[in-house]
Amino acid sequence: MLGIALAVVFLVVLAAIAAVLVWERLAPRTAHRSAWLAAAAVSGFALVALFDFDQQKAGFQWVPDLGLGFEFTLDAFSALFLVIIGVIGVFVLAFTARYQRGKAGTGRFVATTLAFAASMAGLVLGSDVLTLFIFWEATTFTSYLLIGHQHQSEAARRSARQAALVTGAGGLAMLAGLILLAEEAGSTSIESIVAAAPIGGAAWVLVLIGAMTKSAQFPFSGWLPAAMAAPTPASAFLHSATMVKAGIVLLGRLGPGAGDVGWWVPVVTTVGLVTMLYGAVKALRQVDLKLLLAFGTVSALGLMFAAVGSGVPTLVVAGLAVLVAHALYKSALFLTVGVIEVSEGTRDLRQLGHVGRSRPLVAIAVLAGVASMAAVPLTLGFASKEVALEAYLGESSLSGWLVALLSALTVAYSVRFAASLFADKRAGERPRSDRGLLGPVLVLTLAGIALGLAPGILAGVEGDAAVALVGQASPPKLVIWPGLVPAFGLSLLGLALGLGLGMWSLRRPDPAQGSAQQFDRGIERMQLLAERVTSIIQNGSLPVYLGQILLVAVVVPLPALVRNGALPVPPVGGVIEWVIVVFLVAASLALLRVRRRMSAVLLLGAVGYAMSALFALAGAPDVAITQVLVETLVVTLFALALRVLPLQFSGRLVFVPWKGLVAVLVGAFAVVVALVPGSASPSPVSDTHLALSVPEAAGANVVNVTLVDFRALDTLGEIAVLGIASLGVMALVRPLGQIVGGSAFAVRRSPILDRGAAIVNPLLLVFALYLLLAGHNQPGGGFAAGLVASGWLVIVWLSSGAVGVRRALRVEPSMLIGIGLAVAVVTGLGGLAWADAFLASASWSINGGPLGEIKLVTPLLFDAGVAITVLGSVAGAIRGMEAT
Amino acid sequence: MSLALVTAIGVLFAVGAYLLLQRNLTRVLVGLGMLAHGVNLMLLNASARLGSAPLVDGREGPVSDPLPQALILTAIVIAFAVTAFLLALAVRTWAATSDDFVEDDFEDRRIASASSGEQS
Repeated sequence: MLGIALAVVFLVVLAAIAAVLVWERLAPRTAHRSAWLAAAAVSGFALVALFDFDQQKAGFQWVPDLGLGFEFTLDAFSALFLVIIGVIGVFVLAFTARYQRGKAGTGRFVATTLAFAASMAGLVLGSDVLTLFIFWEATTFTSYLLIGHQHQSEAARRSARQAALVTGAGGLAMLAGLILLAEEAGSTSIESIVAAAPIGGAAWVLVLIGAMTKSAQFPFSGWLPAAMAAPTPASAFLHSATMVKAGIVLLGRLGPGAGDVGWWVPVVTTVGLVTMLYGAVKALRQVDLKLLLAFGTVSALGLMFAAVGSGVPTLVVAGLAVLVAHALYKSALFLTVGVIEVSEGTRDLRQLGHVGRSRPLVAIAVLAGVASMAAVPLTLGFASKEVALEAYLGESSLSGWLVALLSALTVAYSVRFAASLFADKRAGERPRSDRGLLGPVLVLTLAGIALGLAPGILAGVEGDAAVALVGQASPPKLVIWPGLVPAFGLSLLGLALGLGLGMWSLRRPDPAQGSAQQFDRGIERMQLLAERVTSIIQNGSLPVYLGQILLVAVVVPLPALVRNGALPVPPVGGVIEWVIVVFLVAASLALLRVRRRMSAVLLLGAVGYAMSALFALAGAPDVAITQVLVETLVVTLFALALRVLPLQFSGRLVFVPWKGLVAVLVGAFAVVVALVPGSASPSPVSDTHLALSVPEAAGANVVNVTLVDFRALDTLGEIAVLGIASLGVMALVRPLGQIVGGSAFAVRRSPILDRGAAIVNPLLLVFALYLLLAGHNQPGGGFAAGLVASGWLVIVWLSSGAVGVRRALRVEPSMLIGIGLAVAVVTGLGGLAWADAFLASASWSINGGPLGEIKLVTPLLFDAGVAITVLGSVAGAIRGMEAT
Repeated sequence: MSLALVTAIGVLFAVGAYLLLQRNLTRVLVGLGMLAHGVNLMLLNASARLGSAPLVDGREGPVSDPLPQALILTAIVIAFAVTAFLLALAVRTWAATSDDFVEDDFEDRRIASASSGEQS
């Protein structure tokens, strides 16, 4: 039921967003009226809250295998928030309909506001931390768009960027924290996490950082005042009534699960109270009414953060009472500032002294809002502040006194706000029309006054909301007259102190330095630091870069590798093995001394032949054959290249200590990896391959069967890479033929070579064909066949040059590569026909008469494709190199 | 796994890394080839067991682990492709600069000196 209701509301909001955007396109002059449509859509959130909210759940799976899904719960807490979103949203949009009249981009603004309302609703309904996170980020995003709504303004863009960076970074920290919590609790559901009460310190710190950035807690407060660059309705909606409370929502939901974390309550309380002090002191030094309210919001958020975040039932109840009252009076005050801004053309309180007298209705709205903000008796602000003071006195008298003194500062900036509007006795200029903006503001103000006279109405709702968070709590005692209790005394003291302080502050109306500059300096410093680091680690030298990469690759995994203690000592190895290895090591070390390129190439070849000997010794004939063939071709290619490159290296290899150190470390790392227990383990995969090779793939050579059947897709990718590399060689080098004016290799015909080639070449081709056909059951296969055929090509080229090669091949190398790949792919597609899977194999036995039974297997065709691609690639590389 | 094999792995990696850190492209290329050899030996070293060739022909006795062999075969061919491509790059570099020498990256140098210029 809830699911349907939510779906309907979200769909209505989506439709409204679309309608608003179309409206703006069709009739920009009346686009401001689309805000009414938006208001109607938003009121849906308040309606959803009317559901019987006995833990109604809804949700749908997104990636079930990962346990990802959207989960929503409608309880008293989310219902309370939905009402705030819906009601404040309606007023704000009604205001917007007039405020935006005649302004460009109205449809965009209204649509973004709607999207925000939906995101915020998702955030408070989310009962799964990942759902919560996604909507959390959605509010960050919509907030960014709204702050930067006047995108022509540099300042607006800057403010939007600051808000997005701060809250975005906090969001990422929070995500990490939430994942850690979910890991520890074994579930992403908020309910299970709270029940599991995880104690991971890092997780809770990260979550706290996320909440602090979103709710503008010190030292992350700076973005909120900067966000006042947003149009006033957005400020009223996002940056006072709803979004900035997301951090408090998060702590309210998760806080009760932090009960076993010792530092939680002291830290949350300290953060909140410090923020309260910081915001209030800053507010006292503002001259812009909107900025004053913004810092006031920071201050008020501090109290809510401390109270709701603590997870202590009495404090949570009090925090919620403050939250509701704050949403009501602060949004009304913001909208009032919007009215003043429109009618007076300024928000500077030094120029607004006449407003109090010349605009009585505005004065009433201001006084009603400020009275609630300063917690003057007979207001909702007073009733809820009393509850908070009672609760904190119940905790300890110290915290009670602290909150009372900090509340005096709230009174002070409230006085500064109100008094400045009544400072000037002479009437100002005749105010411009406020275009009926005052209407929604007055309704909101009246609602506030009414609730102030009967605050008890809210007690039940707020009590239920607190129960939804902490399990059990008694509803707040919201009353008009608390009687002569200590808290009331403290309130009166605070009022008196604040009144004096506020009047005094008016004598120092100098604007304070904004935190925006500090943020910008911070960003500048970060860029400077990045430049310095860059200049050190990225100095332009390729060896240095490679050295860094190697070092990181070697050092980072080391702890994990040596975690299991001592490395085993392997068996020494056989005599033949050692003879090969000594030869290999000698050739390798000689590479460090050689001065001629050709010697280096030959030594590399020697190492390669030693490798193939090792492979043959280890029972890997296929690998050994391939290695020998490849090594021969590599030497050939180098020989071709060395017709261009000078024979001598331009300098001796000079020993550089750091390079030596990195090299030794890399070598040692390789030894450790090779020795670590578990790097060689009995592999069940291989056993399966051995067992299935004959029955499933009709092949006895398991290595070949693996390449062309079990893992044929890998092989297909590989030959594609081979072909691409060959095309690359041709593209890189062939044009050089013209550039360096290289002669087409002048062939010196050698009779001996010609005769030899005439005998050897047919044999090579037959051998290649044999390797291809036999490869499925005997050592060999497509790679070996292609490489042997390439050897034939090399001999052709040596004996009769490029012309001979062209004559022998008849097709271009690139065409050959294409044919080979096509054969492989078509064979693979055939698998779809006979086995419903790409590259699936099939075999048929046919009666070959005198030849006996002949087995036809499709992997043979695939292997032919491999061989053709290999031949084409080598031909391409030779043709490319030969052109130089 | 044997001491001989592990020794060869260590030497191949160390020499390969040292040559990789040179500015001469031919040496870099040879170094890359050595590293590829080292990796292939490491794959061989990871075999569950060594024995006769993995052919299912009814012979008795232990059979070598076929999977690492298939991986090595793939790796050899890919290394060949990379070597050919790098060789072409070296030749191209020579044609452009009359040497196959990797100079400092001009743009990176500029950034580095711009930053240090600001510091002073």
